[in-house]
Amino acid sequence: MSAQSVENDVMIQTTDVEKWFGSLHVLQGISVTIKKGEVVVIFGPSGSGKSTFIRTLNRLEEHHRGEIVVDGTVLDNDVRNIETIRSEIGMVFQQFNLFPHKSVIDNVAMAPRLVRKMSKTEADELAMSMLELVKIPEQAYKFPGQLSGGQQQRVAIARALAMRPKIMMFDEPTSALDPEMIAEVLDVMIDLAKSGMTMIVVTHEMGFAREVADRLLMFDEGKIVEEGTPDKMFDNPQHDRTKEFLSRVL
Amino acid sequence: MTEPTTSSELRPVEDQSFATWVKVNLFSPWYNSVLTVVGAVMVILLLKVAIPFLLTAQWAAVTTNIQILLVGQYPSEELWRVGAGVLPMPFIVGAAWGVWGSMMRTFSVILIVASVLTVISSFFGDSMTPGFVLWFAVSPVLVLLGYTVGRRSFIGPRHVLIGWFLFLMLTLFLLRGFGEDSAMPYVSTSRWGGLLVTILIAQVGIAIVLPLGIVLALARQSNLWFFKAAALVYIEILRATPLLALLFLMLIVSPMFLPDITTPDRLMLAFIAIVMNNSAYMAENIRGGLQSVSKGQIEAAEALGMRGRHVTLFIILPQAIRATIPAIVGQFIILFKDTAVIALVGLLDLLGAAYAIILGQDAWRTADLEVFLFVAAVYWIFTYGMSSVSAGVEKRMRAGAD
Ligand SMILES: Nc1ncnc2c1ncn2[C@@H]1O[C@H](COP(=O)(O)OP(=O)(O)O)[C@@H](O)[C@H]1O
Ligand SMILES: [Mg+2]
Repeated sequence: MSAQSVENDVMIQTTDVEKWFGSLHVLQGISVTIKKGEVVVIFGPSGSGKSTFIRTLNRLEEHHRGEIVVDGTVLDNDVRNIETIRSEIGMVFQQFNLFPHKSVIDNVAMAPRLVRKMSKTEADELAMSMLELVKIPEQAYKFPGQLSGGQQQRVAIARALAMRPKIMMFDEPTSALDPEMIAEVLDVMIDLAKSGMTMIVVTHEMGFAREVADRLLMFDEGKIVEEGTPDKMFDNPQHDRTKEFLSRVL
Repeated sequence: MTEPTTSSELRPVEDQSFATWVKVNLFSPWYNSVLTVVGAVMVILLLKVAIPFLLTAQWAAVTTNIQILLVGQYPSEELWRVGAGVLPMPFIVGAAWGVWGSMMRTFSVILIVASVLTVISSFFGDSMTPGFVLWFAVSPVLVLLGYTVGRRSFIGPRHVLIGWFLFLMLTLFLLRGFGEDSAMPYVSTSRWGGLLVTILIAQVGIAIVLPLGIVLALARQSNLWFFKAAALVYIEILRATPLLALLFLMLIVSPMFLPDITTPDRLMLAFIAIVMNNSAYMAENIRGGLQSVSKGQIEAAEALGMRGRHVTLFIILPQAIRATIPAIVGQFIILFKDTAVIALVGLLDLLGAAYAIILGQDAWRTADLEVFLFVAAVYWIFTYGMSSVSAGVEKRMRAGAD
């Protein structure tokens, strides 16, 4: 009984995950355990493998060694497992990647209709409630090209949430935004974190990290060089690479 | 947004006499003088030919033979079938105008103007049967009726497309007829002709070439080697073959495949050649569009759990087609003009009818220029209509992108 509940508490477990791009060893043994409701922020220099790592978690990239388990499902080459895992993980990209030929509401309602087989009315209702959550219901019938960057990224969050994922992943969600739009996106993410969503966020917004992160992971050259709570990492970093990197971004 | 106003249009005009206007606009800098002189010489040469021609032109060669130019040798007593079959067309053109708005307006305007001109010209001669005149008198009304229906909110692009497909099927069925002694006796396609065949073949061709091109383009990108190889061979061979060579090859080869008693339907052969040739090009156009869809789009769809089939159908393909619309319409225009090869297998399409008039009747042998000018004008009007659709789509897409 108690063993069972501990099992259920783990949303993502990776063990010694390794990956190569040709001869480039991008992931050199990544092991993390992420519990339900935990908010984990990943940071580190550009090219250190942060994107690649989170993209292996929903099979946008294939890993070559080690094991990935998402909510009890082992990520292997079985298409059904990949589909199960993808429908449990929502992902938000740096470049938004909204579907430009679809209206905002259709962007959000599309996957629930196609993947969850919802009716149009049901999916539209769900989409509207998600757009309310990210505070742009009034933009529902516009097209992505007519929105600001901050609004587009919030639609992207609504689109991911509409699949009712158990985990949300963000890959530098504010890096492509003009400075004045960063806050509106971070606010939505903070609300989400406080609502108990399990989140993995690649970001260099350290204010955000300090406010909501339970744990920080510092990536460098395909490895996790240091991890800990925001207080420990910001006030008392152990590793030289971490100190050096934080001195540049803080 | 307003453009900064630095252009010369806003310069004061009060001191511009005609002489200075000419000097500024036509003769400076020096190369403009050259262009002006060359242009003037060309205009004079053109007028020298055009004025005497227009003064003595025998347009009767066109008006007297309007029936053969419009429907070829379709039997006169069965012409009601053509009229009835084509009757839905003005309605559908009007409905398309109502649904898609201004970008489909040109075709409606063309149809209305051409119909009115035809009706008016019927007062000046008796070459047209009352049925013909009636058809052209009704057609503008149908365009406007179609427009009002198309404006209704519950009528969408889907309805127009379905209506168009049904119309094409119905028309082909009516034109062909069934048995010998039925109310609608069989009419061999060798007697179909004129503008009727040109626009019917073009429309059926367009309706087949676009989906076929999409399927070929997708097959070429497929992970299944067989589909990939088959599409590659088809596309590469047909793109490397001139349409005429393909057509002649088919004329020679097709009897070998058919039982001795049947003669190949030459209209069908020409049609197949046109479709095969154009679908290969269409596939390449679409493939370009498929490649223009960014990887991020596919990843976003996959991350949402969408299956490959859905990603292709709902994410990649719509964006690919949107990006390719100018090329697609360009291919439609080429296909429309390609229908002229029908004349080369001995059928009287618009071009074939023109030949038949000039070569077949001594009276019109000297009126070749008039007949061909008419034919060229008809081709031009249709291709102009198609380009204006393309321009309208591009304009709308640019507006959407901002
Ligand atoms: N598809 C790819 N093919 C080859 N190399 C890649 C590919 N994607 C990323 N890389 C390389 O892998 C390394 C890690 O990239 P990435 O995970 O994007 O880093 P980060 O997100 O930390 O900036 C970089 O050196 C990058 O150039
Ligand atoms: Mg990255």
